[in-house]
Amino acid sequence: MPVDKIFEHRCIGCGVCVQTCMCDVLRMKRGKAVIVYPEDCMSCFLCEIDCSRDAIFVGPP
Amino acid sequence: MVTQFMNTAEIVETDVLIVGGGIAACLAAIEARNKGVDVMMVDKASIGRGGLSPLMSGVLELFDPEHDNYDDWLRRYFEIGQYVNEQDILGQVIQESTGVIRDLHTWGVEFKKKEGKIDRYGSIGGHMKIKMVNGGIQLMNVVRGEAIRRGVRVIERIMVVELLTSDGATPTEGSVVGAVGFNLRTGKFYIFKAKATILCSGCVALRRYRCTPPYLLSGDGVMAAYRVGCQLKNLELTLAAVAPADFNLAPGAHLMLGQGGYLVSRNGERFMERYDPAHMERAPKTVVGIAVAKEYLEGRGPVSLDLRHLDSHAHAAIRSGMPVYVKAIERAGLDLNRDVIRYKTSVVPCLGAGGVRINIERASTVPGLFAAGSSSDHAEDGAENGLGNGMDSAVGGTVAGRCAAQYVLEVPQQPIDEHQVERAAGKMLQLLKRRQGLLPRSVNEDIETIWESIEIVRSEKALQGAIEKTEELERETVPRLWANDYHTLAGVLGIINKISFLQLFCKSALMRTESRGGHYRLDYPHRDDEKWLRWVICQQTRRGSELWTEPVPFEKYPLKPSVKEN
Repeated sequence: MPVDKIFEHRCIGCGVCVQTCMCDVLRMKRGKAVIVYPEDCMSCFLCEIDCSRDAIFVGPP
Repeated sequence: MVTQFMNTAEIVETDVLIVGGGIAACLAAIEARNKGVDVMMVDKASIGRGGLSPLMSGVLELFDPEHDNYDDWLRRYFEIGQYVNEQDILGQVIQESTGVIRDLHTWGVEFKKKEGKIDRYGSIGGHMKIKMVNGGIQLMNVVRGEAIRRGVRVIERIMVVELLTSDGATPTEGSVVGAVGFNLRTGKFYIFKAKATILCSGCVALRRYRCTPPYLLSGDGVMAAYRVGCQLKNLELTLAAVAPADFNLAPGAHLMLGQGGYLVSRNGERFMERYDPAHMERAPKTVVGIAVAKEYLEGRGPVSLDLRHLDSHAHAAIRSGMPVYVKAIERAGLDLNRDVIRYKTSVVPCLGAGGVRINIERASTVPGLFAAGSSSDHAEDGAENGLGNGMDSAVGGTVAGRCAAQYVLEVPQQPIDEHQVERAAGKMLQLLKRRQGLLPRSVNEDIETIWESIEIVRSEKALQGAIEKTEELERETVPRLWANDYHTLAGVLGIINKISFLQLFCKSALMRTESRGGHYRLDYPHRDDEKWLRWVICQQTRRGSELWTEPVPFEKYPLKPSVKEN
């Protein structure tokens, strides 16, 4: 399973995950990160690792 | 419509254009800037978070001229590479590794230390390794910073669609003078005019492994180089590595094996005893990969990776070196202290060998185009990635940056051909303007199915079948592909590249009628040093796609193969 959830209440809209994501799965919308192309996620976990607010959960690979 | 598209294009001029954002690309950029030329980096993802570099475990082999014997090192990798290395390039990688590591260390990459110095630890076989404390993530943060600090210009989320040539022709009789691409978020079209271009755009991911992203690594650079007439070499000499069998994760167990992990077959036997008793699980990657494949073929699967006997230091080293890998395994519900993980062989094309043919200056066979890292032919490696991709890419990038900077001092900026730009734009618009069609997902699955049929065990029949299926995809599926936005456009163009690459791959593998390294032919199961100390090369010429072999020119090299007794 690819990137699964972005917890909106934790996301501070810093955009780090959108910059980190190699496969352009995530984008910013209305000040928050959102999952747009989950089919291209490779479960590299870098968004989850780079998120300082623990706002992203990547599913089991 | 094409004109309108082109009118909104941004034209960017530079001395050296670098396509890619991994370790090869960053070191090429830094080295070229150090020589005083203007450098522009473009990447489909972002600089420092692209390709496989941030996922590196950070174990590198390092030559120390004060303590090591150069001839021994050369011979060692020559033997691991099964004699088909380019020895001049191999020697260069060994010798330049020392300076590259010194630079990385100075810039702040953290290495495991002992008594204040970088700890070089020996493994079985006598070669010396070093270990980055925090793997590829910290490495890439550091080199990205160094590149930007030196004034390297960067544009991210750019897919390069085509290379431009001085005569406007593909294949060209002139030189590469730049590239065209677009931003996969905004659709903005870019025309890059460059005196030299360095491809550092990575390997080709044909399987939907996690961590070898098919969206990102679709062979865009390698296939653009092929279209302008560059020779590609060694495509069939793949790296057979091991990966988890029950969930999708990229090959990358070697740090765990290096830390002392066991591979056991169904009956609990450490089977590497039968394949390479001197090195066991620490044998070269391909030896391990093929051994695992044979255990399955001969009915002794499943094979498991067992780390339960390792102490807390080894577990800690695995955790810090491979945070991504460990996180994925834990998310799959496994505990490395308690569980064994089922493993199988998997193959990453181009990650062992194969790609744009380069010389010792990292120049391709078309002037103005250089290649380093996994988009090059890994000339130093031969049939096995002995020195490790990290070191190959780091030295390759550095040399490419230096030689491209020298090249641009000698050539003027050449004009680009507008018709060629229009053709590239037209190719993109054609996919965008369809109102319906196939989206990439199902086609990626088709590509993966074809790849699986020849990934590990190959035969004439399977390879012929795979070629027919790729031709069918080209005929039936490619004309129906559709991109409903720019992100998907990059995916669709990537699929077209992957299908063409897979076809060339199969043709190269069909030609090599022996087994060597990760190229395992069921119908030719033995290595044949009498016939096959040769390279397989393909090239797009005016007559079409051509494929041939060339003997390894041992007369130019210091080491000769020892004749294998049968």
